[in-house]
Amino acid sequence: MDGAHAHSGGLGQARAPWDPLGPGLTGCLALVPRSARWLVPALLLALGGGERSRIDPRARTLALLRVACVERSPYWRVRLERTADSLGIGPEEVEVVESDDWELTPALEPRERAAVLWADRVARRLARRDRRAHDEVRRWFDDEGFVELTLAASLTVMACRLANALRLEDSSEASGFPSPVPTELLRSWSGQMFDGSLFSRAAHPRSGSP
Amino acid sequence: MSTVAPRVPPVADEEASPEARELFGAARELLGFVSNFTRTAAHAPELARWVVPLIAAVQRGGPDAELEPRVKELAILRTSSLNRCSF
Repeated sequence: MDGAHAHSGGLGQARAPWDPLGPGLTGCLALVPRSARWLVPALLLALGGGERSRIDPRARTLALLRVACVERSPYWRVRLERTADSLGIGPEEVEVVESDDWELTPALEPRERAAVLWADRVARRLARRDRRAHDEVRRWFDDEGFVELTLAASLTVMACRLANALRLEDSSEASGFPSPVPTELLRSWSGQMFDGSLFSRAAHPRSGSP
Repeated sequence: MSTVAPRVPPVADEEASPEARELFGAARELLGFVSNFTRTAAHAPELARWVVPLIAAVQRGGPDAELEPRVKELAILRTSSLNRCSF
């Protein structure tokens, strides 16, 4: 997804390649760099998946859209809808996942439905005791995929609560996520986080683009 | 103490991949031990590599911590309680 590398900068800035999480969020995270330097890559990998991901981008995006819907997070719904669009997921499929009909629709493959089911249960705090959902997801995902999906759904719950609590507003220029996130891109972002340049630019957006 | 069996077996030291061993080493350095959370997350090492230090950074204090330890601990306890998480 070429356009995904050029996310909108925060605080009203023109498009820049160094703000992968979108307007507002990086600026807030700049205030807590100790946690943010780990949080940003973790969120990117959760939302977009890595090059060694066991979950295909389509199933991941549908599952995480469900999480954003359960969590009532307009910020992440919009971002994930844009990711879905870039992956060729149609608006009617997005609509189904965001509605109460997602368990019944034939539009989803069984593996996708299992991923959405498990993500839904994680978001609703029912995953610990829901045996049917667990049995279903384990039909389609091995240990690695199951743990990755659970981590991704849990991190998305956290991202939704973060966006809601901070009242982050989406920007019409913000694009979706690269899915999967290229390792080189992740390395570049994390390098900018560890040397502080990402956060200093987020805190002082007029100081120039990278 | 929970009597519910884990859904995925935690990765033991002797069966850890080189990437998981690296993660366990970092966890020992950060936390002094390797938790079952880290051993389970090690099944997805690409993500765990960032999540384990994130949790350490969020939960542990330090000279560059943003919150004082008492306030942070109270917030963590309340959040865990609301999420019914005894871990």
